[in-house]
Amino acid sequence: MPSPATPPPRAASEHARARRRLKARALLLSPALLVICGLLVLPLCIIVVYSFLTPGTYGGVVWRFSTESYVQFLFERDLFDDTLAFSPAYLQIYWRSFIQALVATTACFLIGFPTAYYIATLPERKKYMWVLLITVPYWINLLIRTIAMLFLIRNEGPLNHALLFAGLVDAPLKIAYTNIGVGIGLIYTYLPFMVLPLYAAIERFDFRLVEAASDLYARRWTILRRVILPLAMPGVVAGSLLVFIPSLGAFIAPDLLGGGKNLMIGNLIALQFQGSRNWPFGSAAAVILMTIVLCALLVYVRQQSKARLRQLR
Amino acid sequence: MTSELFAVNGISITKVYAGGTGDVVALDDVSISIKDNEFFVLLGPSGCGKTTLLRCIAGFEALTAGRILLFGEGIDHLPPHRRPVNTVFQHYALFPHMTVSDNIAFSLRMLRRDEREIAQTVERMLALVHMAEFAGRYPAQLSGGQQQRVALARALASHPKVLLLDEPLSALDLKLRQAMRLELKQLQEETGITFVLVTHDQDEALSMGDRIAVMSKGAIQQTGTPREIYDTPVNRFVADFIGETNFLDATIRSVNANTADCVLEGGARTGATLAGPAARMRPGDRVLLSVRPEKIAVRPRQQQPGAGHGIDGSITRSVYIGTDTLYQIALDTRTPLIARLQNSRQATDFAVGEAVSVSFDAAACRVLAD
Ligand SMILES: Nc1ncnc2c1ncn2[C@@H]1O[C@H](COP(=O)(O)OP(=O)(O)OP(=O)(O)O)[C@@H](O)[C@H]1O
Ligand SMILES: [Mg+2]
Repeated sequence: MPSPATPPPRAASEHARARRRLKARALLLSPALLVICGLLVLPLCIIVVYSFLTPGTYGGVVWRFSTESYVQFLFERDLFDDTLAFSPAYLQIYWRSFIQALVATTACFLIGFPTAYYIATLPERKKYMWVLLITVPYWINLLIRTIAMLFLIRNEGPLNHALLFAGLVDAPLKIAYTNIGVGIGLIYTYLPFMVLPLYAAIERFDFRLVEAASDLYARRWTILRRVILPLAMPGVVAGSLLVFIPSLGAFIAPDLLGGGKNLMIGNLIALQFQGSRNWPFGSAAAVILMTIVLCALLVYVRQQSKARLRQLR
Repeated sequence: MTSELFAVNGISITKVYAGGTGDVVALDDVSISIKDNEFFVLLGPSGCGKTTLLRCIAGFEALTAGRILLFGEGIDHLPPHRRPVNTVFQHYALFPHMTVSDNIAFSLRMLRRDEREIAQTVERMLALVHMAEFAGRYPAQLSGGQQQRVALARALASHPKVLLLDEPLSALDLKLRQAMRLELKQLQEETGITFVLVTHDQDEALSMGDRIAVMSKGAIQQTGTPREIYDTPVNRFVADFIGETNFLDATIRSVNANTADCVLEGGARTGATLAGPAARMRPGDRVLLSVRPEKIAVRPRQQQPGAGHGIDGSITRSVYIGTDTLYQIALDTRTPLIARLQNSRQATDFAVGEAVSVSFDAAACRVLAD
């Protein structure tokens, strides 16, 4: 038996400690991992697999491998001679969704930045009340909120009544069931997602830098552009992603406020599972959307980490 | 009023901060005249309104009352970015997302200078503050002293008419601080820019300032050269705040020109100088005298048997501090006297309990107004 005075080899004990720590961390992570695996990764795998299968006649899938869904996305197959002709119909839907999401994100930023700035510069006690107020819309179901919005902006709604009454317009403004209506719906739905990250970023901003800049001859707009915005960039990016990505695949706003006339990606996908019963094509559309978003994100992250690495620590 | 053109002229500046718990009077009717090309120091304890005064000059605070002139022109209506005045902030406030070069170039870009000229100026500024090899770094990659230099270079780049420095050395360690004092002084002489430096460190003020304004509780107590401030303090606050001093309660017996004959508490007599606000003192007034420890002569008592001047006392403590020795001497007064004697003189050491005779010149003893 070794003498009890002999200390255990240091490397070994440290190794054991590291392993124990790893185990503890894995334990902490496991609930989240379980949820993510069960509710995200598994369905995603199913969708990817389905997108390579053949549609069943009454929905569902037939287990036969096929790339038809992806072909269908870009080409139209002639009914008689089976030749492929390029068809931009689905690309147009994606493009329209992209523009809608971009406009909504820009608008959210333009509305959200002054709001976030205002809240961040309030005295401490008032800040929290305002942050709470920002989340108020989320206390109400999204569907109800969107329908309420529809009632507000439709031709016979209070908005048009007020405009007509004030003599600002001769005929009701067509907002409901147009792209503008969808845009308003998207902005309304996702604005808090822009305000909160912006608020967090501006909150952390050292306002003494504004004094320093104005001392060095910078005007107000220049200070905003060259000092505040660059330093609030992490918040701008986070907010933009949080608005842009869900807007791109939004379903409720385009469906209710757009009247399903100008399809967006969300409607297109939903249609494949409900009306057309083409599950593989719906899955393919979803996979394509996800791939585009992921690629864009990867490129962005790559670029940012390169730029940031040098700057801060 | 005056024909001399001052770089900065503050006339009856009052600044009141409205607060939830009540108003704070940060500056109370402050008038100040800073000459062109001068290294001017604002000295005072924490919370006396030094930063507030600087912020008023820079334009970050609106005055509650009063006016500020810059080279004779009123600037109260101008926002900070239109005042030819730059600030070195206490916490530097460097732009964290810009390199050292871009920080220094900021003001020049705002003034839409030519890019080639900007590059030259930045290079000159980097050399001036010995930071040439750090041009491409970000502020987070610099030490406190280096950041301080960049802040200085950034504020100097546009060659402002007046440079305001708010405790620029307070974040540095003692060694660096002392080196930077000399560098700042040299920089001021080289550039010819008027420097207004805020500090609560009297050594800093005495070693750098051409003139010093001593502030307390939102008011300027005395303005003068370091020597004037040290040798001829006008009141108890200034005498106490700058250097060490002894205060003695006394009564004036007679006044002859600007010298007063005073009787100390124990009955001993001494001459003292009357000047400034104290000149209105009359015989019979109870006054406060101030004597610096190093101006006091101490002799063994038996050397001067029955000599007319000299106050009898005895040594109660002695502290050796290298170049000097401090002696605490008990007199017939309430508070003991502190005397500071140089060790390099061959003067005898005094033992604790030894009977001594203490004296000082009338010129070294000031009558204080309050
Ligand atoms: N924004 C403000 N609101 C209310 N009171 C203020 C404000 N800024 C300063 N004060 C008060 O005004 C007084 C002077 O402050 P100031 O910052 O000018 O002091 P200071 O001399 O620079 O002190 P320090 O040496 O500690 O920096 C203080 O009593 C301070 O509490
Ligand atoms: Mg201060």
